[in-house]
Amino acid sequence: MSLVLARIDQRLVHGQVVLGWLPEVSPDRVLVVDDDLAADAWEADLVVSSVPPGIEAEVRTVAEGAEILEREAVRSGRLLLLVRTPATLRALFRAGVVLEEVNLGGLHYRDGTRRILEYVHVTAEDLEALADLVREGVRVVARDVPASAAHDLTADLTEGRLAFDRLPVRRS
Amino acid sequence: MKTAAAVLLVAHSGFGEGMLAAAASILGERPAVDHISNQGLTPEALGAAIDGWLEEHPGPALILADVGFGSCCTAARLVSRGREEVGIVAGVNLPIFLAALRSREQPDLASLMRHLQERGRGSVEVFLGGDPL
Repeated sequence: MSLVLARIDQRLVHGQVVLGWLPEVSPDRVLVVDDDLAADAWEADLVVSSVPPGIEAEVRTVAEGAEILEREAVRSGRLLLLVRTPATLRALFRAGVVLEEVNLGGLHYRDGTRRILEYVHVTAEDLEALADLVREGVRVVARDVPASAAHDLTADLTEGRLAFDRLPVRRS
Repeated sequence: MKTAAAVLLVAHSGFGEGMLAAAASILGERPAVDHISNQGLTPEALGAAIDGWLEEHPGPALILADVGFGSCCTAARLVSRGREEVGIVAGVNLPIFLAALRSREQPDLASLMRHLQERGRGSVEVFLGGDPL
């Protein structure tokens, strides 16, 4: 299966994904990768139940997700990958998953975060994980919904313009 | 017996405030219903806000969410896990909201929710060229 979208989004499957990205990229399968979520069958079922009928959906651990992505790479079809954090995507990458571009969706404000965009607030760890991906040649593009403007953060991450200490604490 | 369920509206952006304003314009007074917006909130923060409201409203509680696949309903489902006194109706529109305000005669929470589900389905009418389709 071709990886048609690899998205970081705290909310995983929600309105922006169901009404925005699923029609945009038309996946046959949605793979949610999250170790905590995969450990709770009830919560995993809840997430899967939000995916429209006709699209396969499952929640897996990082280890399982990496294995699935490697196995599915040789099959036909379209796969959308969802994770909650940049660190999870970096873990998949380090486990051998081939990523060319990352779609950065909603990372909302919480304690200890700094603002990059209205819908992107990062911890130092988030930023480090994104910078690591960029160093490995992965493009990082922020875009909450298909209809909104894309913000390519790759160069800013590469050249250190998104240093955590220089980012604003909250909304400007 | 009447269902004295407290009602909370949880919805995207300004939908809840708009729903309350619309209901007030019809009823002549703003309904005594709390609302929470997901605007700018992490799933955890949204869940904490809903949980805080539930703690302040022990007993039967009805959460009205805008869409079943959205983050508002997901947060409400996570918070209400195992709480038999908490019901959620997703897919809320103005007719359902108004019905929720005026349907306290239902004997229990499940009956109230089924009543609202029926009202919601029945409230969708279609017209073509001004005539019923």
